[in-house]
Amino acid sequence: MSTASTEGHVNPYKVLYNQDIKSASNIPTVSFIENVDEYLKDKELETVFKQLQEGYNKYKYFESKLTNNVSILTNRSKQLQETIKIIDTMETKQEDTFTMNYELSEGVFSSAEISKPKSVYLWLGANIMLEYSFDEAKQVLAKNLSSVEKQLSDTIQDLGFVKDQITTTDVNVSRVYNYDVIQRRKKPVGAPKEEEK
Amino acid sequence: MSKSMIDKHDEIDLEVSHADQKMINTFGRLNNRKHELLRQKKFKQEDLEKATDAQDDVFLADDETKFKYMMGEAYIETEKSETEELIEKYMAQLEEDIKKIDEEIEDIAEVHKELKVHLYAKFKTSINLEE
Repeated sequence: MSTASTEGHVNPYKVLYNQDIKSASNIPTVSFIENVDEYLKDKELETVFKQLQEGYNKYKYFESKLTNNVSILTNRSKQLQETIKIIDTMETKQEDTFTMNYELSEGVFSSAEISKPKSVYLWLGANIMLEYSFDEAKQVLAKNLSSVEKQLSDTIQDLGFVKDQITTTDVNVSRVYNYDVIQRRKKPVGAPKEEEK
Repeated sequence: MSKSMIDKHDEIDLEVSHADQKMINTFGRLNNRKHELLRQKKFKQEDLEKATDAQDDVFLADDETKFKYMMGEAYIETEKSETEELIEKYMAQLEEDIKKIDEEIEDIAEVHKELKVHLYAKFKTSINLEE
């Protein structure tokens, strides 16, 4: 019963197993360098490195922003699931009288006797609280939960995408760098050995 | 990743294709996910340990003892048997979560294995697929 809310929903991280990830919110893609030789033709090496570095920094910034969002959304989703569970428990106590301890202010608790609960109050924000029957409350929470999960899976997808762009940039940098090293090594005339297998 | 220094023997044929790049990306992406999963697993295991301790304490308590079980920000007063039930349910959930984490880690390991075969075959020592 308590697992009903978490069961049957797909793992939002599954998208990471795809070969290709698209951005859920149109973050620009790094272009993969097909051929370094051609790419560097009529380009200054310095500017290429600078461009790559700039792109890298932008994606790094995106990455930290998205990582942060993922953890916020994950927490929100956990809280909502937890709340639904509490209502589930309340529902089983509809005919009972029981005691609860609630926090008056930080570190100070008081106790209340609850007799045959029929409804709960949900905090809607903006200083408003609304009374709901258990079923209605669960519906509201389930709706919130599904919207949070949608946002979460989009954010996860974007994060995976950004991570890909970072890796691509990394590889681009080292390919350009390696290419440059090889070119330099080839240059000196009469170099002792020029083994090219 | 793959930011390796080139060795004289390896500076040949290092043309990275778009398909290779995609594989490298997938590897990196799943590697991140794996570390995140391992972190989560550690937390869950700690929670499970704490729950086991609590379970033992409840078991040793008198039958008439009332407990305060945490629910959200409030505590609900519960009988011994009910407390035991709640803890059991909580632990079952944790075990289920850990199982799922393990399954996903295995899935990742499988994909990683495949990618490594491809990438190491092509790039040999010029690529370092660290975990």
